[in-house]
Amino acid sequence: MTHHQLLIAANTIWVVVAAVLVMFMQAGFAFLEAGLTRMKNAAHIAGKNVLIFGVASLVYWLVGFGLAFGDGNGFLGTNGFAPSFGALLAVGKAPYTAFVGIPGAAGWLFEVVFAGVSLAIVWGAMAERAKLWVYFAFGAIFTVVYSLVSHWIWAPGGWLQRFGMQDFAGSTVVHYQGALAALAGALLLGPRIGKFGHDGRANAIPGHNMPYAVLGTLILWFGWFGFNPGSTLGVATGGRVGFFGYVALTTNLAAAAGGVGGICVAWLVLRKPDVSMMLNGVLAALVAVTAACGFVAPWAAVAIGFVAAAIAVVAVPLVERLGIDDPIGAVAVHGLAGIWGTLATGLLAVPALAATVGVGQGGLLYTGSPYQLGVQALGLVAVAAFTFSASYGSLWTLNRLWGIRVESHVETAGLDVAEHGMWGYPEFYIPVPGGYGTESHGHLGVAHRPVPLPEPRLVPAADAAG
Amino acid sequence: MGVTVIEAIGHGRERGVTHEYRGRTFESRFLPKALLTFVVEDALAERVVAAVADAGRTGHSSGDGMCWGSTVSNVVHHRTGKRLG
Repeated sequence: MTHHQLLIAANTIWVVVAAVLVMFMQAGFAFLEAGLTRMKNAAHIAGKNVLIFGVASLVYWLVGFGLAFGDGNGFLGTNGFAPSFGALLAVGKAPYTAFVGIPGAAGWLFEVVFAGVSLAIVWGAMAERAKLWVYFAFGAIFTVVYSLVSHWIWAPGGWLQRFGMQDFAGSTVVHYQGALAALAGALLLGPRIGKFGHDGRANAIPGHNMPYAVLGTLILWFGWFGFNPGSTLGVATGGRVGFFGYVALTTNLAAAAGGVGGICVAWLVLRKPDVSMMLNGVLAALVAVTAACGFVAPWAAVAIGFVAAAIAVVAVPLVERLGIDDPIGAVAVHGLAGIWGTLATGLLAVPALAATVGVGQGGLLYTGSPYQLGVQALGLVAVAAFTFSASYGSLWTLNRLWGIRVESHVETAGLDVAEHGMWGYPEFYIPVPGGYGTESHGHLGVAHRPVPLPEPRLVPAADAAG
Repeated sequence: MGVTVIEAIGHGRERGVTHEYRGRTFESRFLPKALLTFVVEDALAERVVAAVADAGRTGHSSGDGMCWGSTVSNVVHHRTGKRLG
């Protein structure tokens, strides 16, 4: 093999490994979201992560990847729809000239798992009250919306990319977009029954399994080592071999600061060191450093993570105060932390690292120029206008046509049994042969050995009377 | 001659508890309780009541519960069909 072929081989290994790590984040979302909601909806909420990754993958193969990374103009890709093996095996050739160091197939795999993550975020704020078919319909619509914005910011020649917008792995593209659709969904669905009292005050609806939420957060943190470092799309970046290792370091520093920051801020502001807020702090920090991870110094990653965690902890109750019911905290964790991360990159980007990555310039702190910060803000405004209006418009239309919220008796019974026919934890609700509450549960788990039935010795009625 | 334990929820004077979740107070009006039913001979009744009362006493200001006695009639033992009272 030539030197160039070896480089492509190394790039492809890294990108496919990173894609698989990011795919595993669906497991993280499944546990996080199921853990932070009620047990009557656990199977539905965990299971939807399989469903929406399936929907996103199919739509992304048919149209999404072509719109996002097919050759085209500044606003959308116009080539590479439903690609076949020829287009997917080629390296750096039409219709996917964007991927110069890896085959189109590796690029597809890496980008489709991002579309899946963005879509997973959407349902966090819509949890426990949306109809099942909405996942199919809006999942397909959102995948298209997502693909267009990812073209603007990531595809060579995309209009925000030409301004030099710095979004290394998708604080804006993936997380902010997911949160915008989540906000639209939460507004249209309205709060869960019982979330707000008659006086309008928010009630707590505790999640049913905090260890699940912890496991989900750790899986997401783990998957993020594919998400951010994999976005180098290769083993050498701007002449620096192994640059992705540095990206992994900034990612981890931010998450660490977010976890410590989240629990401390919750302790100070909310009176209790709430475990779920510590988890939200980790995730908010990871969301924020996603834009910045390739552009900033280690100290800046720590600062970005800590501030993101503080924003999330303070913003979760504020979102509730606006009357928005967001069971997972998607709007605060992915939306506001996504905004913070995108802007923080414009503030704290190191000129030398921006040159290495080859996107934009140094931030305000180093250059004194507000240009990069302005580009970041422009991107946020443009994406908000497009993604929120497209999401709100399509969900509004679906709602008018068929209604996107389940009926109240379905919501009360729980989506597991009402939509799918069976609970995630059936034995808590009904007797199951050999299950909880039956002979296998009683007598310390030891069932009685069968004995022959004795002869009936009914007392005669006359005796009883006498 | 036996005891039945029913897991129940309810409250007495303590009127439930308050917890915290994600910055919100979480109130639970009902608390998990146990409803115990002893069916015993008259001669044992006083000692059973005393034993239950002693076991239930924690020293907290509320929530210890209470016990009382009442008579039962038409008692039939299923397996033997024997009438006990």
